[in-house]
Amino acid sequence: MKILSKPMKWNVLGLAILACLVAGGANSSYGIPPNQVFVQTSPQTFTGGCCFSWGETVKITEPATPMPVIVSWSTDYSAGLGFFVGLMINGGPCQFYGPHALVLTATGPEPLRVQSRSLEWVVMPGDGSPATALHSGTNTFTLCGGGMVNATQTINLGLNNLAARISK
Amino acid sequence: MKVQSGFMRLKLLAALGMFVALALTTAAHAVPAPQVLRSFGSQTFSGLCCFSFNETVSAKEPAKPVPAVVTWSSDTKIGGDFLVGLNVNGGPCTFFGAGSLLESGATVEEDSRTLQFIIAPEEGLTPGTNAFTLCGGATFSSSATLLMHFNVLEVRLSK
Repeated sequence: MKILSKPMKWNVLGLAILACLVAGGANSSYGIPPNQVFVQTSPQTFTGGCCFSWGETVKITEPATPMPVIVSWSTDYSAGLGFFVGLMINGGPCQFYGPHALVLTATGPEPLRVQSRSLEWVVMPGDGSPATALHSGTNTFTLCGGGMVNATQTINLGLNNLAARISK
Repeated sequence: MKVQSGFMRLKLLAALGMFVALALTTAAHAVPAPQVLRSFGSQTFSGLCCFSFNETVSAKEPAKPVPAVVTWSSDTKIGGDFLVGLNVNGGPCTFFGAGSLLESGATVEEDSRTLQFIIAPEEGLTPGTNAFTLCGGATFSSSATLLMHFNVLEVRLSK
C-alpha cells in the first residue's frame, strides 16, 4: 500500500531536512553551551587562607589544537580583609591567570559593605604541568582562593557567575 | 622594435616580481598583535592623561567591520584618580566606555578592576587587522600613579 508518491516522499524528506536545519540553527543561536556557565544564586561564606576550592566549576571542550580560554567571574562580596581568587585547571593547583585581588570592603569598626567585582583570566595552552594543562576535549575550570592575611578570615559571596569561552 | 617590446615586457615582469617579493616581505614582518595579552609583571605609570600603556591586542575585521569588544582586567593600586582608554589603530587615546579609576584608599592593598570598551565600526575600524592599545593617564595630578599587576587585555569581535 503506497501512501506517498515518490515526488511526495522527496518533498516530505526535504521539509524534514529543512526543519532539522532550522532547529539546529535555533539551538546554535542560543550561544553558550550550559557547561560553560555557572550561576550561583545562594549566598556562600568561605573561611581560610589561600588557597582552596570554592566549588564552582565550568567546562569547555577544546579542539584538537587547544586555544586560549577566557574565564570571567563576576560577583557581589564582602570581606573584612583582602582575599585572593584564582582558578584550578583540570584539578591542578590554584593559580592566578590574571588579576587575583579582592580588596577588603570595610576599614575600621563600621559594618562590612557589599561590593561588586568582575575579573577576567586568560588561560594559555602551555600553562601548568602537562598533566593538568589545556588539552583536546573537555577541560574544567574551578574557582578557588583564600585569605591574603590569615587562616581565619572570611569572605561572603552574593550572586555570582563564572563563564568560560574559547578565544577565537 | 619587437625586440624592444619583449625587453620592456621582461622589465615589467621583473618590476612586478620585485613588487610582489617586497609586499610578501613586508607582510611577513608585520606580525599582528595577539587577540589576548597577559602580563604578570608590575608596571607603574604616572603623568597626566593621555599616553600609551604599551599593551596592544589586535583583531581581524571582515570586509564590513563589526563592533569590537575590548576587555581589560587587572589588579591595581591607584595613587590619584586615573583614566584608562584605547588607541585604535594608532589614533588618539579615546574612551569607548567606562574608564575612571578612583584613588585607592591609603590602607588598601591591590584591588582588581575590569573595564569593557565597545568600538563601533565607524570609530576607526577598518577591514583587516586592527590594533587596540591601552592608554590613559592621571585625571588631575601629574604625580598620580597607576600600578598594574597581573593584567589581561582581550579583544573579540561582536557577531
